[in-house]
Amino acid sequence: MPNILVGVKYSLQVENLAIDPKTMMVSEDETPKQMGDMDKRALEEAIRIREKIGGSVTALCVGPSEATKIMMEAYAMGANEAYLLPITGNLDTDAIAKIFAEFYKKKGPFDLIILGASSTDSFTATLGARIASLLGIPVLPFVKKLELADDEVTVESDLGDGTYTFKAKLPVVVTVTLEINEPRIPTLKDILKAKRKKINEIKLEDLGLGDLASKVRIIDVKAYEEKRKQIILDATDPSKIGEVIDQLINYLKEEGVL
Amino acid sequence: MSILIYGEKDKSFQELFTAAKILKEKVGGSIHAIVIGHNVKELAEKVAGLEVDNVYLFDNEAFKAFNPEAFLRALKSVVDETNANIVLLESNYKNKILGGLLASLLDAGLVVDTVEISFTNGKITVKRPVYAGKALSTQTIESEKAIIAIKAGVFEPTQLGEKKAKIVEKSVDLSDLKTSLVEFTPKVVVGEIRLEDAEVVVGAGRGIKKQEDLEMIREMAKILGGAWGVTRPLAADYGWAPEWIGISGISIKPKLYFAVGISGQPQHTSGIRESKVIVAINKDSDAPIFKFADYGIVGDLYQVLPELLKRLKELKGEA
Repeated sequence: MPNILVGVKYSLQVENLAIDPKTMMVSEDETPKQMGDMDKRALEEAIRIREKIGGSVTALCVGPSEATKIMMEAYAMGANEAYLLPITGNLDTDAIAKIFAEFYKKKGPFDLIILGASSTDSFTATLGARIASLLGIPVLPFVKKLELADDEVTVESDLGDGTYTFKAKLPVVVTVTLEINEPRIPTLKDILKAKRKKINEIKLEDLGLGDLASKVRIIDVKAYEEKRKQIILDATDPSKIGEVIDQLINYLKEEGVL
Repeated sequence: MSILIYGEKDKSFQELFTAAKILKEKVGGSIHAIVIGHNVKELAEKVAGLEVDNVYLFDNEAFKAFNPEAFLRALKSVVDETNANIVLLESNYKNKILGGLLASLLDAGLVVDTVEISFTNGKITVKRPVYAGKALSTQTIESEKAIIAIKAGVFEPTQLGEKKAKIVEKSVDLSDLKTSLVEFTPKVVVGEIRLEDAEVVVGAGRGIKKQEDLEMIREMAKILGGAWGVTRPLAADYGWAPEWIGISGISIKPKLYFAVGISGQPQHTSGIRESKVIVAINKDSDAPIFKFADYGIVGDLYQVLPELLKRLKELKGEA
């Protein structure tokens, strides 16, 4: 029965970025956050495995202390244990991977580590590989289908140029994409039950990582200005369509793209 | 100390070499290249036409398709041999994994999706899009070793010259791999032209009601000599195409992009940002796509498109 570790990130809602209109700088603190959409699928996949063959699901989040919100959600979805390692500011994937590797050693070993293939906000898609590398175990990335039989996992990975079917013996790190499943929505009963559970707090010092520093430092994040012409032509009246198309074709000829 | 470049096609090596030269001016050292694959001698010969010292060649059937562990072993052996402290590679799914594995083995800093490289106070400074392509992040690399994955098309390709560099044939022990590749099914190319290379792209979104209706999109792409594609829901949810345009799929940079029946979610618009001119056709005048468009036609695509196709046919017929 597999012991599964799931990584969840308290991610920025990219559709609701808090942008200073003067400087175009993005304020992370003021942007609303939620559990990453691929992370939610990682958790769902882990819970489905447990429901099928047993085992246990531990969720770990490295993030601000307000991230308890998504750890409650992890309980409501069905996690057995939820851990939060509170940090202030950002850590790069090198540092986060070290935390996961040390957590694995201290609280594990785990048979499976399941992560979202990439976070919704920074989207590097590299954390799974880094954790696997530190632990010396395989990484099966960008997985859209996962099968677990005995101590072997078979996956379908979409790596851009095609679908790869990989096979590896446990323990492994698997990173999942949006296609893998449709995550459950907890019922009110699940949510109320989750409220009675305790979120475990763990510190860097507990993992022997007191002096952890990022190798890549974020200097600033500036929102793109949309500099499109935004010339709108109204063709809601069908009799105007011909005229509108003539206008469009003239514009495109002027642009030299037709 | 050296810079190692790893590509999959001659074009990626040419672009990475341009970036390597910029870094070399500041950090010094030599530039080496590594070619990994099956039947890739010809590629190595081409790469030897760049001003690199050595081209390390791993030509083996085991490298016919990607296995992260196998490719990592090859890459790591050359990093060790050349004492490379900077590794440059193209930013794509496979290389993000390879880069992640290598970075933690070397205890190196890693940046992906790089679109700009400069120096501040002697530190390598990069820019990369974040937040579903809505913002640009400036980051510095604080570590001595760095792995930098660069987006295709960012740097001008350096012209290939006469073969000058030495090709060093290598092999690596691939026994006891923990990951086995059971099967590889290459992606079907939707049209004759790849989306990422097309000068004109016609994209279809959820405004297209039935799969058969994609025929209009295909026809339009054909008339314009371009490629066609779809948004994520049409590919991933409906299965109408094997790939999609967007941040999690293919990023395009055509001269002209038509967004047909596309609402304009950040996931999609971040993948079309580099298009020169964007035309949107949507019946909902409030659709976010109009903020990303140079020209927007508010109207029913089922009425607008047939007329547009007719006019484009006439136009292209005249030419």
